[in-house]
Amino acid sequence: MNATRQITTLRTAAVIGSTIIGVGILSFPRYMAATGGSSAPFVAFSGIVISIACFWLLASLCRRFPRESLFVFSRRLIGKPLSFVFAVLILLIFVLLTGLTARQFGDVATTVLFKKTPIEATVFLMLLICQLSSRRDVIKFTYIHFFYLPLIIGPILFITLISMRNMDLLNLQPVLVMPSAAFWRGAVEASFLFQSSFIIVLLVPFMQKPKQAVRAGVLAIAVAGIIYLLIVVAAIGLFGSEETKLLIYPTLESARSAAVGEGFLERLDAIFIVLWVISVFTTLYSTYYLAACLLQQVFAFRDQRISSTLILPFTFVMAAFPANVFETYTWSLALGAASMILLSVYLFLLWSMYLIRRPRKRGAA
Amino acid sequence: MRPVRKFCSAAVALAILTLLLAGCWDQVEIEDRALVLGLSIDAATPEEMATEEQVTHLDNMKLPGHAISVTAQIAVPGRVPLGPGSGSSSDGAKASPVWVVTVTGHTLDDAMNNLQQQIADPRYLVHLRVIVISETIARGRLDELNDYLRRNPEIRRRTWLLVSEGRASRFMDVEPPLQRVPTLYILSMMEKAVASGKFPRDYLGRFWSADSKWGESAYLPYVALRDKENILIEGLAYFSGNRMVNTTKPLEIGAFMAVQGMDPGGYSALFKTREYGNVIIKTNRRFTKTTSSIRDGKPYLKYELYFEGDLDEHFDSKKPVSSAAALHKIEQEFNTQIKGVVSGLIGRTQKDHSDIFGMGELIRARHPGYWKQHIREKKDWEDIYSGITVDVELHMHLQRVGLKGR
Amino acid sequence: MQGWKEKYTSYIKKQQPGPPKAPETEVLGHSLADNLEHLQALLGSNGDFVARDFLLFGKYEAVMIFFSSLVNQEQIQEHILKPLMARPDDHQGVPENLDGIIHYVWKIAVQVTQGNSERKLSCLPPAIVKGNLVLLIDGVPEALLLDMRQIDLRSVDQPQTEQVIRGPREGYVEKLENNLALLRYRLQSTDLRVEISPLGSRTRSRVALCYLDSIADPQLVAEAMRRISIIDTDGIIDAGYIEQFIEDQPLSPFPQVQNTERPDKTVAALLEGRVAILVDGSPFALIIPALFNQFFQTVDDYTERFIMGSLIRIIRLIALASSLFFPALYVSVISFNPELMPTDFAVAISGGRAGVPFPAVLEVLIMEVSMEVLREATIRLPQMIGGALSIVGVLVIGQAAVAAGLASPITVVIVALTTIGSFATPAYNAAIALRMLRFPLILLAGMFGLYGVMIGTILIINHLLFLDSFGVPYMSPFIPGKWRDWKDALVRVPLWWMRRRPSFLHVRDSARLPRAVPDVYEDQILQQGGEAGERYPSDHDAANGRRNR
Repeated sequence: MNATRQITTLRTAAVIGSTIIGVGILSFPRYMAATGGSSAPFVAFSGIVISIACFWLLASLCRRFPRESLFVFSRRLIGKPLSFVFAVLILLIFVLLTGLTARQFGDVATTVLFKKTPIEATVFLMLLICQLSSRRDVIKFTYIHFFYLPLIIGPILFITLISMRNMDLLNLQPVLVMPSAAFWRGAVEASFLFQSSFIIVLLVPFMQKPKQAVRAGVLAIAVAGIIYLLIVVAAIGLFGSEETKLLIYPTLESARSAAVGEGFLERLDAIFIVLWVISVFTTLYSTYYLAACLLQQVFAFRDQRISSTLILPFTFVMAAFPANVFETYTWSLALGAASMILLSVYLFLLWSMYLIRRPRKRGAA
Repeated sequence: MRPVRKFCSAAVALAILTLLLAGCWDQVEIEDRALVLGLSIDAATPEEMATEEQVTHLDNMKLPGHAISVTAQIAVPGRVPLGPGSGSSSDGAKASPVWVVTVTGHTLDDAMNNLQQQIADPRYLVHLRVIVISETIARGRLDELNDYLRRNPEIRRRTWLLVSEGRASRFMDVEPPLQRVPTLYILSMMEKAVASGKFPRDYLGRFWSADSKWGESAYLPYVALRDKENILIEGLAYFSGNRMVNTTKPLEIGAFMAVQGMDPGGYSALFKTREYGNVIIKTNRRFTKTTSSIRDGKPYLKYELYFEGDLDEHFDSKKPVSSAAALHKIEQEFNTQIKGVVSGLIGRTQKDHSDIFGMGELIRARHPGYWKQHIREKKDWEDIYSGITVDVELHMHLQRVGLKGR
Repeated sequence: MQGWKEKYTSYIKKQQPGPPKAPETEVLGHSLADNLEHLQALLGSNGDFVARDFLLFGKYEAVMIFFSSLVNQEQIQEHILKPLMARPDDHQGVPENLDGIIHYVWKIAVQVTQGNSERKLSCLPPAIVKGNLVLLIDGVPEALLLDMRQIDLRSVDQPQTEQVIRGPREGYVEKLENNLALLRYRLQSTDLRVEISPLGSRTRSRVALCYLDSIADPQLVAEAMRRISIIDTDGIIDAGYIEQFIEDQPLSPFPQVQNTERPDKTVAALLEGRVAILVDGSPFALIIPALFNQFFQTVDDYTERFIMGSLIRIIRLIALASSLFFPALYVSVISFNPELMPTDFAVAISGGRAGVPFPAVLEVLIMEVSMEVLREATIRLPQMIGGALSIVGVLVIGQAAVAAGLASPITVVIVALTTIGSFATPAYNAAIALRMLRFPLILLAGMFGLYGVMIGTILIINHLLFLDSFGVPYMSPFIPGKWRDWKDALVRVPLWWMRRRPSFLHVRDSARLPRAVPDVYEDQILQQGGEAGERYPSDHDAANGRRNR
């Protein structure tokens, strides 16, 4: 029983995959349709490629320090003060991300499921179970993701397969489009969704084979990417790109149009929303857990129990901040861009320091 | 450390307790909900307009002058017995299982608010299955209607939206003997029409999608009431630029479905042949091949329709249909005669600027260059559509003649 | 009456500053009377205490001391009293002096299998309490302890809580020796280790820890011993007492130690590499580690053919899920999401509920609670009355509640289905955990509808995933797990396919079937069972089998 290195590659992939698939699935086709029209799947695909590239940069660096987490070895690479600043910034980003994700979830739940239930209640309940679950160690954290992943992918595949019957392939043509400014904007926006693959930095020190971190992440992004692609294909194929642009939650609408056995089981959207709660939970859980671990490292707490409790009010306040649905979306897009920039600067610094220092080490040896 | 933790857990427990105590915000028991099963929407007459309540607005506000009259069919709990035929005790419950309420309003939402003002239970549209609008509404202002229906999460995308000949509210009053609830009768009628190939699967969601697409025009089922009780699918009501422009004949639904290649084929065609008298051909399966090209800067489309069918009836002729050659003759006749029906339908929609076949979508998908150059909005295509050339070719293949040998 | 009064006065007298206790190290004296007095002081007054004095071999004063309730008096008479009271002529070799008398008695006179001699006075009372007979001889500072223990038992019976269709009919009884005998009889292996030691400062109940030495994970055995060793309590009445001391998470509703009445189940668990704990006086064995699969696995799965076994296992799992979720889902559909029902059914249901004055949550809660009460009542009643009561209860609760407008007919159906579902769970303590968890779920459903049910489910599943039983994750082999452990999880594959023991138990020897067994069975299946007779292990097949692996 090797106590520390227990996480298999497959489980790492599951964690990243279930983290990526989150609130975004509901509105994702709309963004893609708005930027790509009928070739929205192509836009989404480019976004996936971009995010795989970003992930490769991150994971292959982590892979070189298999025993330490990112924040430990960054202290050695770029010095304590600078790495502290970055840790605090990333912590802020993940607290914000958790809050905004919870808010988006609350918005959907209030619009579709509960008209009268205060959004605070739904959001708080969600954050509370994240907090309660964040008190456990990383091994158990991966168990949760591994268990829920089939429950996340299953319903989505089911809904898409049902929608396939009523799909019109004409809606998806032409498939390819000449990349334009809007195209790239859409692709980058799509890659925002995959940012939470950052969770890998927590897992590497606990992996059985840290060398396979990149492989696990790429597998996860590929699987999650296929899921996202399927969603886009289903929505565009079912509604056409013009109608998809009109719908605020196109994926939900495709669940609403689906019926099993000619109306025997209709209105699958309620069931879909409920199962979607799981995927929101896993995403929130990851970002929450990451934030709690960061806080623990920044303030050098003994474990993340106390930090997970400390974060709860902040995320809750963040969730309550945006004034309306549109603001939530602009904020989360802005946050995506901000974290993209921050992470690339951080990675650039780390990589350059690593490359500068490496030859010297070799010379010394 | 200890007291801090205790305090924290106590605070969390207290928060959960408050949640518990304050819970149940959205809980409304099913029998306390006024489930609206069907809606009909008419243009309001001046007398009706006078009865409008001031629920969402006051009289002195500036509002569009026209109004609609909405009739809702609400399920009454307890009138429909649970389970199959629960004995003779329900003799007294002959009363109608639905409650029909009519209100007037400027828009559908306004009317719904007026309705809520009149009934006790909160109304829910989650089980709204059929909306019937009158032809006047369809020819006029469908936009505001669509806006409300799209925004409301309670509306299913599989609701049927029907256009009625004459006043729509009459459909809410029918008492069909086949079903306990009138709306459910209309619903099952439409569903069965789809299953037997009498009508395309044209739900509200489909209608919206077609309405949004630039290269396609929307259509809706056009229904009429016969003998006060019977509902007839009279044809397609097709739209151009969000307004209904015309209707088709019932057989033309079959022609439309043939062009779209929709299965199963549910229509039979009666026609007179030169040698074999009158025959009825029943279509079983359809398949359509479409080719498109840009000729002289104009889109050109060619539809090849393949049918598989049976000989259903044959009379007024001495000559028996007893050979492959005879069947072939009939097939030829069918091809030429029905081609007239199909091209007639296409020609009429072209005249009305209503591309219900989605030919524009075909062009958009296959000739994106042309599309980008010429089409800036939906109206552009509808204009071009009336000028394009469409060729139709039919290929009927008769397989069986039934049990009669000669 | 009179007798009790005397007892009372003597008892009160004894509660006053008690008689001087014999120091731990005090040894037996030479005087028989002194020894006897000391002993009686230590044991106190007991109604079943017997001190029978007689002349040993007709010449020495001697006393036999025992509890008449614990020993086999007939055997004492036959094998001890008779030879010892024989006249000296029958014993030619009786030593002349007292020095060798104890030796002689043990070697030649008595015919008893177990016994020993003891010089310390303080050791005698515990031995007597255990069921030993103490022989004291005047002038000898040594006592002879003879094991004459016999307790009347009920006979080995069909286990009451775990019935099977096909499989052994024997269940444990209360006596440890018998239970161990039942185990050894099924597991005739030199590997079976049984560690026995008393536990409980007052009851001194003997606790046996059984495991297979060459299979069980040493860490697991050590951990089990460690946890048992730190138990410090005055009494272990039943195996359940131990369970509560050694489980990982006392606050969890899920049992982390499995209990069974069946020796065959225990043997199967031992063979998998688990550890069993038996307690003298309890007809239940504890099996550790216990995992989630105890909720739906039974003996029948293994004794019946594998296809049927697997299917029934899946049905049990459905029953399990329905007993947990059905009422909550019903409540949320009725009061939050009626759009999920087909329209005509929704209209009809609202008709059925029209006269019910309560919201669905309350209605379901009332019905569920009364169902639980009914269940509890029938368990405690004698079987004959119980049967009658359950019929009456079902009639009253079902028919009358609907007629009185307390509940809608659909609710009754739902509650009935839930209850039946919960009875399909094989283990009682597991079933009760789920039954109790459905109440919070109903409450959550009443507050948040389907979202509440989902939140509750996530909490339950997270808890299950976080739970450990003796270092083994509770949800294994599902999470985490190796694919090969899935062979005996949701379904059970044929026995000959389960070549290795579960990996999550970290066994020393994981091979169940020898590695070189040819794949005859697979071949048979591929060949649709033809020519099976010829195809039993020939060298060719063995080579094939090896190559295939």
